[in-house]
Amino acid sequence: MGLITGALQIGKNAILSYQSALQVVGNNIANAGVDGYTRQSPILTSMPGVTLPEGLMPGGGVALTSLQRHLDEALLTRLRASVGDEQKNLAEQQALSQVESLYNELSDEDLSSLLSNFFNSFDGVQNSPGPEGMSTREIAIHAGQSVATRLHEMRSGLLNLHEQLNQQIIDVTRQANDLAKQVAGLNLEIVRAESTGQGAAASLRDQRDGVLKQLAQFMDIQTSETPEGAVNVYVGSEPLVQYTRSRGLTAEQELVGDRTVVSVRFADSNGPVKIGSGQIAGLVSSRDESVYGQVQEIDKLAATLIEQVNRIHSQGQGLTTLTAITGAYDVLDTTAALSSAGSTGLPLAVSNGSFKLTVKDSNGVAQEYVIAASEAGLGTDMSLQDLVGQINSTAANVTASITSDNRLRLQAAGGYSFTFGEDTSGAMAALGMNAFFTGTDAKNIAVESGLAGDSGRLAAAKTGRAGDGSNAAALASLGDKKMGQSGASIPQLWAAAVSSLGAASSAARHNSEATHSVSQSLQAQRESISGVNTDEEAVNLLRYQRSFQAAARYISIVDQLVDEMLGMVR
Amino acid sequence: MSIQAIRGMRVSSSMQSQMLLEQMRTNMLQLFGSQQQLSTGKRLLVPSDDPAGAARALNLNSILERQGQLQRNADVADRFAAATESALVDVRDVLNQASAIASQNAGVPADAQQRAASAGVVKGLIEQLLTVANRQQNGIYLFAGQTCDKPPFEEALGGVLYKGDTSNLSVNVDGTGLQMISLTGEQVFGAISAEVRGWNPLTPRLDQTVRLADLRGAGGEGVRLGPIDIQEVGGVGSFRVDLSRANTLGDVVNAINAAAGNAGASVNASVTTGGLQLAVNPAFTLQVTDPGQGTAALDLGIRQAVPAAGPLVSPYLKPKVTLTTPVAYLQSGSGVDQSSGLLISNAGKTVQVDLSGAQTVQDILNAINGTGLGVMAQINEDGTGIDVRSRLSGSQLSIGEAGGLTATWLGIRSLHEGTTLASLNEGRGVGTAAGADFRIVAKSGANVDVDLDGARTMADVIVKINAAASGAGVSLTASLATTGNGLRLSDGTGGAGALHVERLSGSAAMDGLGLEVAATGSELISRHVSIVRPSGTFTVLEDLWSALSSNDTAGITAAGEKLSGLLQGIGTAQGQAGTLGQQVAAQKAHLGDAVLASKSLLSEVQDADYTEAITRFTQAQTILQANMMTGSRLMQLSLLDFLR
Repeated sequence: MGLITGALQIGKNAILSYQSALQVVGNNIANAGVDGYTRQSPILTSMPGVTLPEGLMPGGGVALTSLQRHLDEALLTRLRASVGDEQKNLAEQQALSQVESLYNELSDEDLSSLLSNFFNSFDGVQNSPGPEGMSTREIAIHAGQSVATRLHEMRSGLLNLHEQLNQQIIDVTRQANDLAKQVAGLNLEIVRAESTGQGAAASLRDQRDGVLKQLAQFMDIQTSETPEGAVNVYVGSEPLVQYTRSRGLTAEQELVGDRTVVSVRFADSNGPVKIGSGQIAGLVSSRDESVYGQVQEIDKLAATLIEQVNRIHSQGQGLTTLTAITGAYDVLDTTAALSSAGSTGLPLAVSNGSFKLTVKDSNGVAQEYVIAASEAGLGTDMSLQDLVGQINSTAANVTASITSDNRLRLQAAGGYSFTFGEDTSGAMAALGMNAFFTGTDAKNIAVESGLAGDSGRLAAAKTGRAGDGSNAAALASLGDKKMGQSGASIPQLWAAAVSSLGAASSAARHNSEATHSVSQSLQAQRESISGVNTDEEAVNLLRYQRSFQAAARYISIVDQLVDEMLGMVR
Repeated sequence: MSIQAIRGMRVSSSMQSQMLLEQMRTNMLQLFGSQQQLSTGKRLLVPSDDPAGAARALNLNSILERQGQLQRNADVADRFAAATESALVDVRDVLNQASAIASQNAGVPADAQQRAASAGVVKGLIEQLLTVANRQQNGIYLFAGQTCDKPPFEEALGGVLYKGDTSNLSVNVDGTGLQMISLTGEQVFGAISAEVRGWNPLTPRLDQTVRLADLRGAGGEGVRLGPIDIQEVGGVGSFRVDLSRANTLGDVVNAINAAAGNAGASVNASVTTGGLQLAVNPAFTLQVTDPGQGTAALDLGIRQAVPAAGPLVSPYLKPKVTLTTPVAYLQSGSGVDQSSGLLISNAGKTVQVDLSGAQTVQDILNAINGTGLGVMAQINEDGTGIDVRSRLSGSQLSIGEAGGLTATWLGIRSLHEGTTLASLNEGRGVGTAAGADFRIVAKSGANVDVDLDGARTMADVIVKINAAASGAGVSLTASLATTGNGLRLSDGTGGAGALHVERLSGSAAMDGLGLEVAATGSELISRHVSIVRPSGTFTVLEDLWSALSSNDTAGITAAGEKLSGLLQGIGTAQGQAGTLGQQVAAQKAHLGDAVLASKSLLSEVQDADYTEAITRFTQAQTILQANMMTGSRLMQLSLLDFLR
């Protein structure tokens, strides 16, 4: 009878095993739509059993010995890295395309059109020496104001973007911090669960893989699994999660130069986190390079524009004669050498040269004076005080002085007026005398207020004659004037900047597409290993169902055998 | 973007849906791109669509905007040229009428009464011409030069005064620079006289403050700055001085001395009245060279082929006369006689100009310009001296001495020793005959016969008269008057008769030199024969009017001849205006072509190719359809359907 019981035992084991196997299949099918679910397979093993009378050992049936998670850890690591790259490029691309749309170039209202318009407007002034000249002067001043306003808008738009990116870094850091905490928590649960048996924490592990993948979107992480089943997470070779403890991440605001930047730090040590990839890296690099780089770019453009326009404008004459003007720029130290922009704080250094100051009385009788502005090596290294002394000792009926806020002021005697010309030193432009623009960068560029209020002060002429538009013509041709080593004009400098922004944006877009493709590919590979195929599961379902049916049938056959044997006894 | 399939791979159910989603995302992006292109008609919407193309598009856009402005500039020039041309036609009409009047009244059958009547007509023509000369276009006076906001001509000081300017209005038509668009009153109406200029260049001396830009340099090419090499042979050897930032001669000296100090050389530079001087230790010799193609040392007159003993002295560096040049610096530093001043005659008036307080050249110019006689003084183009010109048509300008030598030293005396006889009497010269030309009768009654043959200048005339006087043993000397502007004959014979001059051999020389006037005591000072006046339209019409009024047929004939010359001049001006119109028209046509070319280039860069865009749109649409179809079919298909 022992044999019969043995046979029944085999049947029972088989029924239970296949029932469990069906449960596993059912679980797979149920989770077919769950992201990050790892497919499991029941591992059925045949059991050793009793020895037959013949001395043979056919085995003791089947048992479900373990569950296999179909998983490739190396692939997961690669997947996490690629997701990080993808997010980094995406963040950069988004920032750059925001800058692009902020600039709105290639439209009709972009800065390059405004610049062209500005330079061309001076031709209009040159063309209209008559009574209609006033309106063309207004147009030129307005064109200058439009350029200044557009530069302000662009700069503040960029700074808003800068602030948004900072805010985004703060948000994302908070999320990453939560995720690191979750990893630590899951580590604890997995270790606990698995101490009772292998594979006991399959769903927890899936959960942890999911959290790690999310964390990898924010920053590049490396992981290593301990024998107990916990995962240690490292960022830039420093640990973030150790066993069941997260060090925590915080976002710190700090002032760098004239802007606020947010940096990510470890919460426990306040040490910097070296993040090379992921969304945070993308946000940081787009903030510093794409956005702040552009702020510097337009500041440089504005500074060049101010300098070049003022150099020409300061030497011209308007219809309104000057009786008193104050420079737009103040010096840090009235005794500092004007030849050093660093020590005077002026936008330009004054070079060795001279300018002409012409003083006219009410009858138009002129007296011309040549004022020399010298520098070290060729003469005395002149300070603003020296220059004032030079003007006062050379010219009559004009008094130069330094205002309480360290600006140069010229005041003509009653009935007299004055003009400047042939400035080879650049002193007038540097001090902002008779300037068109004031300010030093895109933040504070503006049309000089006296000029904005009186278009007659627009210095279209080099002489005082109404029909002389030669200075306006010089300003108009500034639009084509090749400057510096690059040999590019101001509009060309801007076009080059826009084009390089476009190139960066285009490259970011391609990078983002490429890394997206890589991560999709890796995702597909992961799916092909770990994903559930319902058809496959259907086949397994049939297989285990049939095995179950067969085992049940077997039990009923054994039962019949027992009946037969009991029948023999009767 | 697609998911790369890997051979031997399993396909999970979620992969199918993911693939479908991903593919749809990509398709949608493509469709959106095509939609954008088709709806805007542009290929380039943001620079990142095609950075290189964007740069070209931006460039082309700014070129187009520039060309648009140049077209507007050309329109301005065009309108101005047309207005000028029509005004010139009116000027020609007036001159033709005047010319007809001159020929009708030159001889018989015209009589005094008819000439007087015609004079009235000429007066009307002058008024008519004034209106044309003050014509405006868009509020701009056509013939005023750059002082175009005020009427250029007005009747003043008994003539027609030109208050306009000598610089033309200009616009930028071709984008390379300014092009003249207006003609000035000087060019059309000859409203400014030739200049009064003497023989005496003003040759200012130098000092530390003289700007290098104001030097014509040793070679007359200006001073082109750069580095120079100085070699102290026997001393420290060669050292280099960078002069590229130098502004004044003082800067040059300072730079050389600083470099010499650094090199430990004995070279010491200084500014002399004429140029630069480089001293060196007598034990050494000195050589200055220009490195490479430089010319700084050459222009400063200190370049040397071989080393020589010091000091090295440059030639005169020819500074230009500037407004700020001190009067004391003129004539190589000896200054000019400022005590006496000038006598300026114009508009029938004579004004004594006091220059005693003049510090700079500008003070002198202001004093002359301020006489109110319609004269203009300015530094000449070469910067060597002063020019004085008259703006008053119909009036004669002369500048003489006021008892001293101021006008002579300033080089603006009308009649000076270098004045050629041919230039006298407005270029008609002095007619001489064979044999003695005139006789000077001294108070004693002694005769001095003067033959001017061979005399070219006033100096020659003076020499001839003095030689004739001493030859005749008569105490009589000729010289230039120290007051006014004439030739002075001083009679030392002390007789009771009247000093006077008589014509000989039918020669017109006496009248040509203006010696027909009466003497004052023992002195006879000639009439102003070296006069200048504007030679243009208004002067000639005034001449014609006065000739008609005074029934002077010779004057009428002369005016008639001048009128035909003026008509030619107007023809030239018309030609200039016409040429300008043609140039502008050609430029406009050229600009039109250029705009078209830029536009087509821009369109190539910026605009969408519709055929291509539509093809791509259709393609993307087909792919999306196929994707949706296969996706939905695949997802319907499941083995679970067969379980029962």
